[in-house]
Amino acid sequence: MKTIEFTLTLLYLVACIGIGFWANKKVKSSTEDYWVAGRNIGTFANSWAMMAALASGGSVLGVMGLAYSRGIPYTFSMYAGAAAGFPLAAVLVAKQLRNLGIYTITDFLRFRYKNKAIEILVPVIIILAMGAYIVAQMKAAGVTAVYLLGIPYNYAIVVTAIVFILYVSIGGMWAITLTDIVQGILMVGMVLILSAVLFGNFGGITPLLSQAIEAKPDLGAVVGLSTASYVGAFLVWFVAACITPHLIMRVFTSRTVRSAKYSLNYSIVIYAFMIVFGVIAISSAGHIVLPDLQDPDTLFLKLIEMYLPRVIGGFAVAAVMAAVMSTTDALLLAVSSAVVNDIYCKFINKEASERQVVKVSLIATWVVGILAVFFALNPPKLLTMFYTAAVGWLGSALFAPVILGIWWKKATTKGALWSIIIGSASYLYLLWFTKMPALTHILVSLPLAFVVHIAVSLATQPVDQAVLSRVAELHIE
Amino acid sequence: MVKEKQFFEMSSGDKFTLVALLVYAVITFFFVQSGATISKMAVFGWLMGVFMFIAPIISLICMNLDYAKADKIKEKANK
Repeated sequence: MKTIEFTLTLLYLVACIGIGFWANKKVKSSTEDYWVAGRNIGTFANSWAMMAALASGGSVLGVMGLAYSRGIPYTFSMYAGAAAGFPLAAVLVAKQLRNLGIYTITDFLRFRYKNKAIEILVPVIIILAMGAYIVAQMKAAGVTAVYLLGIPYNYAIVVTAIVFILYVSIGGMWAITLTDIVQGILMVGMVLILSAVLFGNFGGITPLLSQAIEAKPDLGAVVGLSTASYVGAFLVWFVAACITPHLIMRVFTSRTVRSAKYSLNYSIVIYAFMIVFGVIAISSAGHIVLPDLQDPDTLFLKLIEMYLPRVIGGFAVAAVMAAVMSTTDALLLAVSSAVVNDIYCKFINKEASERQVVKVSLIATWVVGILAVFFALNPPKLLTMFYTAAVGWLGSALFAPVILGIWWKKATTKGALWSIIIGSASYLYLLWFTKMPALTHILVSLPLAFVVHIAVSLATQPVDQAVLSRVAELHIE
Repeated sequence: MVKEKQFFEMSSGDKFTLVALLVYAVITFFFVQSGATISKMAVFGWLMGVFMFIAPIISLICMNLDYAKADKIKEKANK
């Protein structure tokens, strides 16, 4: 057991639980506070919370592993997709979704299309896709604990899961926001500190990169994967911010439309610093000092051990935990809101009081969390590829109906329904039954979803004018 | 008779951001198969790295211009 690292991580976990109990006072009987923090989060807090929700274990452990194994250009193309996706969300969905005053993306589709099949299908897709994402994040927590705390993988998963399930279930969105700010600052700080130390040790950015590329020429090259794989990796994350529930939830929490749009952009500026400098420093140093690493996802942790003093290393462990937890807590709330707001309140108990809904949310959060722990005990390999596939499925299913629903006056209910069915089914078929290159499936399924939506909509006109008038109101700030 | 538009109106700043993001992405992907390098790394990699910074910066500049314009119009209307 490593005492310093363990103590700092323990302090960090206790602080998270403390924040959860504090937030509990605010959310006891209000769904508005539980799911969207009373729509009262300012730009600074929301920017850090958004960045923390996006920057998961994948953005600290997985991104370094990906760059180490597949090169910096491929990694940048995937993460640039996310970076460009946030400004895209600011342009395409932030104003309209914030103006509607909703809790989930299903709420928007219900408002726009009024269809029972869509209302059932969408939360099911969200629960499955985000469930896969949560499992991937839990693996990151386990890997961290094994390497830096020296405790067994299974114990690590159970302990961290109990902590974030506890503070999410009792503190809802208020707890998530406050912990995310702390977690965001911690993870960006630690990645940048390690990067600065590595640049210092190897004589700066260019000398480090040159040495690494000499040792491993593929690190800086576009190799191994087809052009389609590069485009696919970019596209998956480019469309994600517009529809992925744990990211779009932060638009609902914003105090105003302006604040939502500013937060989306500020969060990406912070994220860009962490990813660009982190990837160049850590993956390059990895190829120089650890050329034959078996599990690339452990690169960040191994370099921390080698280059940082133990006290700072302790903070780094907490930072990786923070990265994992800041995304997983938001994912957990997204899944629990899909279960409770989209299924329980709409189909099982339509008359539920706010207090009842908050109680059911607490139970749902524990059930979802425990199920995720169960699956995380047999984790997937290559973290980033696994959850990117899940996000690609979500994008294939929901991007077309959401974007066309907001912007195209001729988008009809049948068009949306068929778009969701064909988009999601084609993605899964291509993923499981064909040998298409990694992450290219969305290049077929997403355009297909748009074509189906447009063709079916044109064949099933007209659109309800009352709905269109209400959509038009959403475009006014 | 004036034909009704099929799409809802988008502000000029948002339109510019959208086009800029798409154009930058498309141009960058033309470099995927290029052998050109800077500091031994593929130009494609550098362009993608730069994209992470300039995407939000373009969006912020356009938003600020849009809001300044909207605020001026509101101010004039109030006078």
